[in-house]
Amino acid sequence: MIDGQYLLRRIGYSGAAFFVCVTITFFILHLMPGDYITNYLLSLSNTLPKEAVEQFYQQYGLDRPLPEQYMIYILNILQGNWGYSYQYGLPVFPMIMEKLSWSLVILLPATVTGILIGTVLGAWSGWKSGGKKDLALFNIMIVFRAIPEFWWAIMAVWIFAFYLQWFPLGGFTSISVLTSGMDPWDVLYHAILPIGLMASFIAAGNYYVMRNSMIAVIGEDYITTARAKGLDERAVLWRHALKNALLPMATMTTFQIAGIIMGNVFIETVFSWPGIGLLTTEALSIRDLPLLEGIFLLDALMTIGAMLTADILASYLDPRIRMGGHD
Amino acid sequence: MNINPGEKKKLIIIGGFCLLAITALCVAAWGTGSAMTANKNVTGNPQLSVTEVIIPVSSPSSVTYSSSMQKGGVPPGIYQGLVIKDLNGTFDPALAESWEVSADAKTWTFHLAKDAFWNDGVPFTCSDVKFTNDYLKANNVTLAYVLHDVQSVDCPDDHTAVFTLKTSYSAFLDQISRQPGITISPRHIWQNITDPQHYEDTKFIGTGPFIFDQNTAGYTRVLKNDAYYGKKAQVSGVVLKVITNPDSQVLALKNGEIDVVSDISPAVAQSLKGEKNIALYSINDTGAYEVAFNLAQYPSNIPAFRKAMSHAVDRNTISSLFGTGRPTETTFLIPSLAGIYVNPADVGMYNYDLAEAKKILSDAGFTWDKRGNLLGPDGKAITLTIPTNTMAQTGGTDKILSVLKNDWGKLGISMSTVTYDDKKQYRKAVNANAVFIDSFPVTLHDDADALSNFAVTPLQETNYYNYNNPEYNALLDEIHDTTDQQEILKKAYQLQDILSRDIPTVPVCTSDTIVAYRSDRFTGWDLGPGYYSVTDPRVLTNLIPVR
Amino acid sequence: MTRNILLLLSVAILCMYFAIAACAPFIAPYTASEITGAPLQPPGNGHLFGTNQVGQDIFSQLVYGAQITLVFGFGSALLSVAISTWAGTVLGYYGGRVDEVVCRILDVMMPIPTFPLLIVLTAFFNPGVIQVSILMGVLGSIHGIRLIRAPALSLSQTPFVEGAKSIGASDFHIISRHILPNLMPIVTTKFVSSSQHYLVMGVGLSFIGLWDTMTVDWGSMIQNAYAYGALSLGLWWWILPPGIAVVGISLALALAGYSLEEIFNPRVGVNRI
Repeated sequence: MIDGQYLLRRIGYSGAAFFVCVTITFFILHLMPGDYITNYLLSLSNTLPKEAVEQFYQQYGLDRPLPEQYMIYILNILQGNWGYSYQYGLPVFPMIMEKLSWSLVILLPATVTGILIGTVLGAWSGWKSGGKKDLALFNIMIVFRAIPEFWWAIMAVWIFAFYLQWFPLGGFTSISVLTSGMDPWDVLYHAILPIGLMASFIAAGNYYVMRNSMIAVIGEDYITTARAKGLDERAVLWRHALKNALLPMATMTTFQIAGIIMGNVFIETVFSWPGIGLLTTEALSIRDLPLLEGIFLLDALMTIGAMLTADILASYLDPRIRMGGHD
Repeated sequence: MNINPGEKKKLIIIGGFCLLAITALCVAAWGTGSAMTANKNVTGNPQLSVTEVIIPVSSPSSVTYSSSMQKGGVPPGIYQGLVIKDLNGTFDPALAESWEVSADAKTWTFHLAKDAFWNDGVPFTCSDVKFTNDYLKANNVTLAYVLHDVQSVDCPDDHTAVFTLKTSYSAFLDQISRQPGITISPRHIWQNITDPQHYEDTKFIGTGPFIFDQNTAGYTRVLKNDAYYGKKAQVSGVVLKVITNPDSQVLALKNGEIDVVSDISPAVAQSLKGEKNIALYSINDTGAYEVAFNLAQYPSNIPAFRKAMSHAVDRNTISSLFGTGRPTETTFLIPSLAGIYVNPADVGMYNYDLAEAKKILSDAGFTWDKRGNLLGPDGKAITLTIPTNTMAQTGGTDKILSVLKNDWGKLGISMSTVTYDDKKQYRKAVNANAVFIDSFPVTLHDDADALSNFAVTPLQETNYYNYNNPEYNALLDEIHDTTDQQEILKKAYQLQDILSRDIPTVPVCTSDTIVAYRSDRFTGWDLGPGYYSVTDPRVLTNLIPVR
Repeated sequence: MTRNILLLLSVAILCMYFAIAACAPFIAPYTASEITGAPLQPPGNGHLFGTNQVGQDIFSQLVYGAQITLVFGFGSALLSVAISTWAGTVLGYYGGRVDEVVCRILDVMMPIPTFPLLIVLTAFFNPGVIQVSILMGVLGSIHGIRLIRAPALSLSQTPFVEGAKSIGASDFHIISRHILPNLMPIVTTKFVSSSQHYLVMGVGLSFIGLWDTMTVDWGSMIQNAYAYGALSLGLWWWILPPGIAVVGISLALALAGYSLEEIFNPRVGVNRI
């Protein structure tokens, strides 16, 4: 069903896109004002000993011409060597994976429940479109989505964690982790507030897409035909409308998963949740180039992968797209 | 959009697989991740005692570098240097119990603690000291520059270390104990490691009053070292908890989740005053501010301009805006820390008097145009751009600038500011402009050697002021060549006389660090000036649990 | 009917924000960075919302902050929509080799993650709201060109455009008279939704301290309040005003966007990620 040539072309673009991404991030990061060693030495004392700076440059090959550094970098990532963080001295890839895993503790449940809730509510709302309940829900969702997530997070911390003290102020475990080890329930207790916020936010976004999709499907001829045939409303909803309306959600979901890396930098900041978002902001402020390159590389890989998946899925579902929307 | 049922089924299957695959990936990643996070030390005390003090840290990275020896980011109280810097040019013993220096300040002999042991039971000897010096240099560890002056370290016996320096250097103790300083690393751990930059240390074997326990999920714990040769801690351990937002730290203190918050603003301190079980104290003079001149740039290259401006800094108003700290009336050294090193003859030189400033300017050939703008001797208007740095305590710099803008505006100088996010860019801008505001940690204001800040030496080819006075440099060299305290004191006075004449900088004021702590948990926090950090091992060993 | 009322309401709110931003020097009693007195004063004594941790007037900061926030939100959205409309229309109308090449380039550029890129780029232009807005506009237009190109392509194949061509109308005439007017609904909707998107993103980045830390805007105001005592001391007059200001404009833009969408095209949703 899938045109082999089309698939090859897509994969070719993805490869090219990957190299463009890697190249752009490499040069932009290396040309970024400021460097790690200056920040580091000045954070220790008020002096910048020349020999320490030169030694650092030489150790990390920063004294070579930029194109040469670029070639070395490309060769390294092609061999799966993502380098070592300046700050931590550890290999970049496992570090990112560890932080990513903590981010996923929030993101995974939040994305899954968010998509589910959003889809169900959106489908219901779209099916009942125009009704009072639909409009009420629709407006609530618009309001919810319009408020920035960090603002929700601050308010939630203020009210639920400080005044009501129902939830912890931040972090991902309570101090008992030091004696009794990691307790999944304890982690969950710390994660509930951020998960809840993320989930509602994602739900609001999906709700909107699902509702629109449902409204579009309801207007299609085959629904009218089905209804005209005298089919039970419920049967029309389940057998025809819902299944077709769900299709755009496939694309939406792939993109949400791609955006996962930088997606919750705000939530992580407010809840002191040491995940990939916090790691990125920290790496940026101290100019830890290998770490930043690693994070962006992973981000690019995920985005490109998601786009490829979405493309293939879409062409699979709708042969008209197969020509790349070109003619 | 209408597709046949077979395709739909396939789609659902594909979708399901995708979701499954992603879930599996996530679970796998989490699994490996949490395994990595929990690098537990099995020898640790399994009981969480109520007498563990909980201290917040603002960044996960401030306690979790696990590689690169001598890099920092290690929990407090584990590693020790030979001596600890104290106030007024004095030093407390640490791994060295006593020390002596040859008259030419070139040979330093340290008598090491005899009953000191590494946490794993290996005795501490001179070979560790020698190893630290040799290893840092052989492996190009960044901090090797601190030991730049050391020619060699010799061990006549296990408990004596002799440092031979390349040149005379009377401030050597200061060099090895002031930030960043050098701590001694265990030879038996590192001798087999060839790549220290990329080695992951998970044990942190040290000699200090605390033993590393574990580093887990936002917490780092050290436990009391019962075998410690010096003053033993009375708390059973110290837990560092990551709380990134300073205000959340205050919230957590109020909730009783943590025991202390350092560096709170005077306004927050004021409002905490009535709180039950929360007590406050202030560590005086932990930060120092100055209005500094870049002597390579016009108009700061004109001595009269600098002199005039030294009378145009309203310290009292600035201090009142700070809400903490005191106006600095000396040339550079802070009296509460440097004590006898402050030259009394040079105190109160820079009194605030705009009329006098105006007079000095006009005597030096400065004029004013019809609108009152100050014109330089060359007839051109004086405009200043002042670079500032967001990372260097913006709040303080802002306050100084707001007062300066007003006063210097009265003198007819138009001022603007440019802020840089990055330290390197900032330093560049400082070099390209005539005036800048600087803030120093106080450890750079407390003895005769601190005056090397204005010198040009072989190690320091330039200073931020572009100040290069041969007389000054020679005097400082002489200070480094001698160990005679009277001689050092005399020369330090002369240096301050030169500073008060040349005015490369106008000290403005100091700021204090205000600390709030749970008075129902621990006492003994306040050890007075010089103890500028609540994670200072000397503070931690002084804490007493409240029953 | 309600949609029209909501649209009017949101436009009125937006106008109010613009008026405040434009008249900032006349409304605000102080400048944004001026130190006006003791820190953390409660409302009163000439400070409508009190003072912040360095003693700057919160109300003045709020008023001046509107300028920065609006410039970033609308400036980058305007640029992004202008570029994508121009490029999309031209590509869709003329087609041919250039179209193909540009589409290939876009295919390659599309997956570049803009959010992290934006964060890094801000490090280059600091301070520089204008520069960052321009960059964001250019980066954002990559996604917009595709969105505009598709309808432009189908429009240029409609009978009335073919007809106009056959009677010898100039390309400029056809584009400006036949194609652009028909693209207006989608362009307007895209503009409103991107403004909201960029505005909220700018405020968010500024809140986490990754975006132009020098200029006073609502994000940095919230950050100051959040970091220096508004929560622990319960100083609601410090943290709520900038937050409500952001929520207000974001809500107005969201309502306007959804209303426009329903008015122009009640059945099709625009995927906005």
